[in-house]
Amino acid sequence: MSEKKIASIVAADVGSILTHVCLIDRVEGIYRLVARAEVPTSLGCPEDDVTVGLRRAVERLEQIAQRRFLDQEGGFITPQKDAGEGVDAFVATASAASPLKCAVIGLTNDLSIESAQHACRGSNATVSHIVTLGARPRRWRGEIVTALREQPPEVIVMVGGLDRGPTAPLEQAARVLTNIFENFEEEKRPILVFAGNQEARRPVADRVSTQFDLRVVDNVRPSVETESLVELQRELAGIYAHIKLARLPGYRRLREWSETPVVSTADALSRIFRFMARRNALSQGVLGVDVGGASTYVGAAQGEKYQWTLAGALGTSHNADGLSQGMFLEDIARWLPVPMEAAEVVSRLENGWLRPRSVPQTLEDLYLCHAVARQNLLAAMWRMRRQHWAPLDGGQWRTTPPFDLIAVRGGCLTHTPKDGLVMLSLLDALQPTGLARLAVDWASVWPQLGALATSVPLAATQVLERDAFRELGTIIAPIGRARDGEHALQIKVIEEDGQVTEWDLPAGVIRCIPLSLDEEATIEVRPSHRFDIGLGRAGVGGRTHVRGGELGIIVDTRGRPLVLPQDAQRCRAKLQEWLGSFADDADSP
Amino acid sequence: MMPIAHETYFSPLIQIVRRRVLPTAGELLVHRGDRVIPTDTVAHCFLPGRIRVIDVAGALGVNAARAARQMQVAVGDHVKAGDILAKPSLLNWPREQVLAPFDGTVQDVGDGYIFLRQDPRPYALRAYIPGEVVETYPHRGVSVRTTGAYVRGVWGSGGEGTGVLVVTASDAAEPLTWEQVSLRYRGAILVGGLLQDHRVLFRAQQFRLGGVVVGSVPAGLRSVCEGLDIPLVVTEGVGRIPMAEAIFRTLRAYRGRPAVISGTPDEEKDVEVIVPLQAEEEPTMLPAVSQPLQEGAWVRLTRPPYLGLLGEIVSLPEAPRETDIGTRAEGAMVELSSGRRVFVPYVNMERLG
Repeated sequence: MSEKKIASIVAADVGSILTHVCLIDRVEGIYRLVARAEVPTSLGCPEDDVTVGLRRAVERLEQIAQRRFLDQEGGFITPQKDAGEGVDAFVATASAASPLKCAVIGLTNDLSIESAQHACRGSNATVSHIVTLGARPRRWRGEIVTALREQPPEVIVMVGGLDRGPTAPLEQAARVLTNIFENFEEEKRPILVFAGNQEARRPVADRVSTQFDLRVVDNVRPSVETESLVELQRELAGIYAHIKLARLPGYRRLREWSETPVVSTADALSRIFRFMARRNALSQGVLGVDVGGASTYVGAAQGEKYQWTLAGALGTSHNADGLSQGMFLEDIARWLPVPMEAAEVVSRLENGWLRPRSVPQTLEDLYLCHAVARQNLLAAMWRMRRQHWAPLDGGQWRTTPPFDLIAVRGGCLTHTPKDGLVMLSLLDALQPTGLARLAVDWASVWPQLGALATSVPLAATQVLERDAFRELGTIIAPIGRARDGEHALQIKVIEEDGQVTEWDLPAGVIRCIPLSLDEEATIEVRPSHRFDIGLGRAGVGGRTHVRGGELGIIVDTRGRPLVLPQDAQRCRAKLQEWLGSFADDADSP
Repeated sequence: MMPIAHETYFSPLIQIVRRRVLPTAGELLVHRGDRVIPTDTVAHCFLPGRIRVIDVAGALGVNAARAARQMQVAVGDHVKAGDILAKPSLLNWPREQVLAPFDGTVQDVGDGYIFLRQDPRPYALRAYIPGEVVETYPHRGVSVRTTGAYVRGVWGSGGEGTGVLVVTASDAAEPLTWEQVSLRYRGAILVGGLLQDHRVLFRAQQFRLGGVVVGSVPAGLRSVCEGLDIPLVVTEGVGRIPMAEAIFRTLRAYRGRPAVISGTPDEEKDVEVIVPLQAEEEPTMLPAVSQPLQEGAWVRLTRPPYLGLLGEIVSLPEAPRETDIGTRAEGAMVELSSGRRVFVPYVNMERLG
């Protein structure tokens, strides 16, 4: 795809719940976001073909842009004609396929099974079977063998043994697997990913390579002290993108339409978050978050380093797995600022999951949706902290590292009419530290821009900078703890016109200091001896330049990690108080 | 583009085609044009038998090398249940000999294990619906066409079933009680307005009903339903939501007629109830794509504060509007049965077929 020849682009993101499309075109020589539309993804009865919903979305785009993009047969008119019909390029990203179903097979008395589970749960995969082989004898229980045959996983992750350890147990396991899956039709046979003892690679391959599609990656536990999940996660992400997505109904046509290979949404997001960090030379990097209907994605881009987790089956709509993954009703209900009976919570959640495309129409439903989003994000952030942010010395990893920019997206957030509720949910779940700007993908176009970043980078850059950001404001969130009401920090805001305002803030509050979107200011922050504003030591103050936003400067003195009152009534009162701190939520609940 | 809403399709009379496919290649027993009833076997095949990993070394208390010497079978041998697979030597006494748990073939021997494959199991594919075989797929399956009343549910469990339709409720909001479920309904498909008591399901299973159709089930009961072996179709959702009046009327109109029910969706069909009927003229086909919404269409609302209410679309605004909480969305003005007109996003309504 030659960049010079491309003026107009339709870019689509086919999610499990919604399909988003946008039109990017040159306006006065610059790529701009001209129109966007979203419709429910057409998976399941009656159509069960993702291109049906995509065509509907493009037809809606045609209505908005007053231009024709589709021909009589429903395909794209390319390239754009002189009369304005058609587009020069179509690109697509997708995340509509369900998470990968994995089985983890490993040895007892080592930590590799736990590591493999973490890798799977952070890579849009669910663990359907765990097979732990006893030390002596390494018996295969009959019910496990039956379960593997009757409900075969899509991927088997085989782990176990330290590098240069004995290989016999893994060879035995390989032999058992070849017997279990003999006579299986090839397309139904699981992919085998070997992430165990390096010495066992060759003997295991000798046993299974004629029968299985074998992938070999780094040992997830090369030594007792070391965990290495990156290779396994990358392989699982690749299997999802190249095999799982390719099985989506209608995928072949989607692929034919697209100028470039269809990229998984997670992959596209990783590109755009890295791009944001590099483009703005952000030394502390970008924390990217996608609160999806079917999954939750968190990525951290710092320099050349990119760390991520993708919690499949942990979404705001399709959350069937959430409650079984240790997320209890109380965990969700504690984030509600209004009283709600447990049965009512379950009933509303189940109805929401039965109709994943529906949106809240009452405040109670909206709060519940945000409660689920918070809990999903907390789970994803916990995985990030455990896997990526744990200090090498094994010390504290309970707080989020500081980032320059927090970039968030997701239907639950963008469809919320109250910015204050969005901000509070993110503060509660991400618990950012130090000083960070917060921006929202209001138009749901970041994945599409990520897909464009390799083929038409100029279009991605120009649209991202001009049209795709909605800045909610600058967050100041010190680390530390103090009793509510105790002095937390003093902040002086010097606006561009020289006007100075000073604020003394107690601990345990959230305050919005007005500073509109087009304004900048210099701030001086002096924390008390109990708080560290990200300068490495409690009590150390500093001066910096900040930009405004929809909510201005948001100061969160609740401390890190955030602790909610145990008593449900007090907890609700606190949530109401914090929600009331935002001007647009002053009247609720 | 006309707006589209998700559909909970129901129709008093429509053509329905169901594809029936074997899990593995097999033999067809019917031909194109044949008439079938739900319980007819239209195709059959042999499913590969289960594999059992028999830990001979563990059972005899010896290492793998010694276990190999004590095995009495070799790869490819066919054994009957109870045949000796391995014998203990005098040194292993008093260990017992290892016997075959079922009829099967020795697939592999090694590492102290015997891998015994059970003999293939026959699998019979039923027609599921009565009607005419309209398509055959060599070695794989058939399509059967019927005409009848059709109700697509929102959730279900328990697989497929058949039975006479029995409606105990006098209106769409009347709960199905456990006292109503008795032996006299054995094999029948019981229809109630809503379900509030899990004992209904236990009794339905106990008395082997053909299935249960209700408007809603209580919160948290879905996992209980999934653990039972009785087809259940829920038409509305979770909580205390009565069955949509139009669906209830349709089912009640056909009480006493044989029907088929499927509580488990698969690639070929959704959760559904079908009442096969004779039609003088060939009715329309079940639509393959969602139908656009139009003024006058009846919709069911799927989100509070209107959850479970029915209404008629009175206008389709061109531009997005704000909902009661301020979210901007594309939607329709709907007149509720109370006469009140409300704005509802398209994603929060289902067109009633």
